[in-house]
Amino acid sequence: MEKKTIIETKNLVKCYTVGEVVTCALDSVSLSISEGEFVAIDGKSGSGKSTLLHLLSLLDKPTEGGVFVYNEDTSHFSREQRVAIRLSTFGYVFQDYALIPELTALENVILPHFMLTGKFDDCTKHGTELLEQVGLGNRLHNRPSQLSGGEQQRVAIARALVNSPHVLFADEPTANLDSDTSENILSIIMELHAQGLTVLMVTHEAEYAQRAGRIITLADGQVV
Amino acid sequence: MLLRSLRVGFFLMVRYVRHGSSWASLLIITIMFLTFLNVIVVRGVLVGLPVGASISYEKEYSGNVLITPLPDQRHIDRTKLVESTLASIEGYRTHSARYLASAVIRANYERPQKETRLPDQVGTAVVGIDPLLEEEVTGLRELVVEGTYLTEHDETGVLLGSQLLEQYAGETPEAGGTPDTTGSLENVVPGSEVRITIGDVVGTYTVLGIVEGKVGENSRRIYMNGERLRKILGGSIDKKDEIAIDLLPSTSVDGYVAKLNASGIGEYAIVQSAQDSQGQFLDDITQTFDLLGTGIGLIGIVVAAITVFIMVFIVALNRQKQIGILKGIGINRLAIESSYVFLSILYALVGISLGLLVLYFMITPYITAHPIDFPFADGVLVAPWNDTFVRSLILIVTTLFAGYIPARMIVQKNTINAILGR
Repeated sequence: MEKKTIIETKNLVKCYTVGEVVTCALDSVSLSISEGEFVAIDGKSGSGKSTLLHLLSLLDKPTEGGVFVYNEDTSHFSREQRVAIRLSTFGYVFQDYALIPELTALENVILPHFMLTGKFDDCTKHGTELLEQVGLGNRLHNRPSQLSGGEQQRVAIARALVNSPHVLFADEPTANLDSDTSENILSIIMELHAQGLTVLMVTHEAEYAQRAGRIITLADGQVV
Repeated sequence: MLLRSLRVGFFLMVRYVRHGSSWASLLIITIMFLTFLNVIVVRGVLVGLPVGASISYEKEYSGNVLITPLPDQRHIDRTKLVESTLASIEGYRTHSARYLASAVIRANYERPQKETRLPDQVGTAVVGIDPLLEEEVTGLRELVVEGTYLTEHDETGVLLGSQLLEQYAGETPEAGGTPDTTGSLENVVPGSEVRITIGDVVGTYTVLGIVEGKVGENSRRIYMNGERLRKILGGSIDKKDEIAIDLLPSTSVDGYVAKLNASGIGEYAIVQSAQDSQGQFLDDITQTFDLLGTGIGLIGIVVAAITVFIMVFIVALNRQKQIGILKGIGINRLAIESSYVFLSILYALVGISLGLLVLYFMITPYITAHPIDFPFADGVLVAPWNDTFVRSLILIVTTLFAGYIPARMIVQKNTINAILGR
């Protein structure tokens, strides 16, 4: 049975203008991501990997072309609609963890779920379970500054999963970690994929990219 | 969705307060506290000046109700009827009926007269009172700052207003000028002999005491026994000149005046509440001071709003990346903006609450116990609850906008630019 397409792009272009200089990070990128896929996006530094992930996850808008989520063109979506999709359908793991320093690990995790459901007690229970799953059951009430890099990234993964997303975006999730911790993070992501989650991971390390089911390689803003 | 966003905003606000910079919070709360005091207390003291003068006038001179002659009459006609009527109306406590006359008081009259020197004399008003009733209505005894109070048996004793005396007024009749009410007497103290001319009658009196109050009339008058003055004037006991009435507490003054007028007293005299008898001037002054206080308070509010704006802007700017992350993980604009609005409201509420505590438990009781000593009034603090509530509300709403606008400016920024700090 053919798998459903979750995300599709058509002739995606992203250019930045600084003064009179126009630089294009992506040039006519067309691709599609199907349900349950594990796709690695690799390429050299400056090839447009992160820019592509930002556009696919609706964090940014393309200069030209379109991003389709479940076959719906998102180009006419309002800012609030894009935020709503990011909340309910996507989970995002940032390269530098991107946790809120004033919140504890548990509060960081439950925040998107609280936004989605408005039920604080349920959120706390769900968040605790997720943190236990990533091995941080004993660090619930620690703030990010009290956690190691690997622990912070696991909190970030738990936060990305809290609303049971359809797609998990991971932007170089192992970039700031040592090899053992990187291996640990990667194994968590692979396990999530094994459970059926669609994963899009940006990495510049070929070894990690090889573990994905499909690799999209970018060079100078184009798929090669 | 609205309620959920607000709940998330509140959740974030609580965490910002708990784990944010306590110095920044303390600074903003202090500013809100001082702004509140500026808005309420400065205005309250300014308005308190004319109000204090009005209270002094009522307390020391007019009583709750003042009865004076009709414009075309020299005296209150049928005073006995008026007095019996006013005493029969519900709410009456006591009254003091006074005789009034012009007089010239001269001191140091035994001193050798030189051509270059004017006689040490002053033109003024003499008031004939019943010492006991006057004490009950206006507390005149308490205004005696030197010497002793008048008794009903004093035939040749008088009280002098302090402004008639050089040591209080600090001025003497100008050389070459005519003696008038702007002058004052030299070296007159309790026990001094003075010569008072009332009409054609000249008499020598002993100064019993010096009266000093906040009301100009009190401090520029001569007080003597009413019966003595009546005899000098050769007038009737049915033609007095001024009646000050003291009512029982909680009696409606306007209601009492209305009943008195309805009884027909208006045909013989003018009946006015203390407030009305002071004329429009005091109301105008009160309104002017109110406007001035409001203007000063408004400047304070604008300064506070700008300060909160800058502080929230800096805080939001420092959290620009976090705001981007929040948007990135699906927290909507309203939730993020409301967290800063709640933060501003919290600062305003804490500042105002501290201000209310200080105002109603420290400043107001203190000023009530120790009124500000102005020459023309005991300055009080006018800060009624309803007025304070409205002004506090204005401060909160202003702070709300001062917090919302910078937060909105930062939240509007492109999400990925905010996350990447571009």
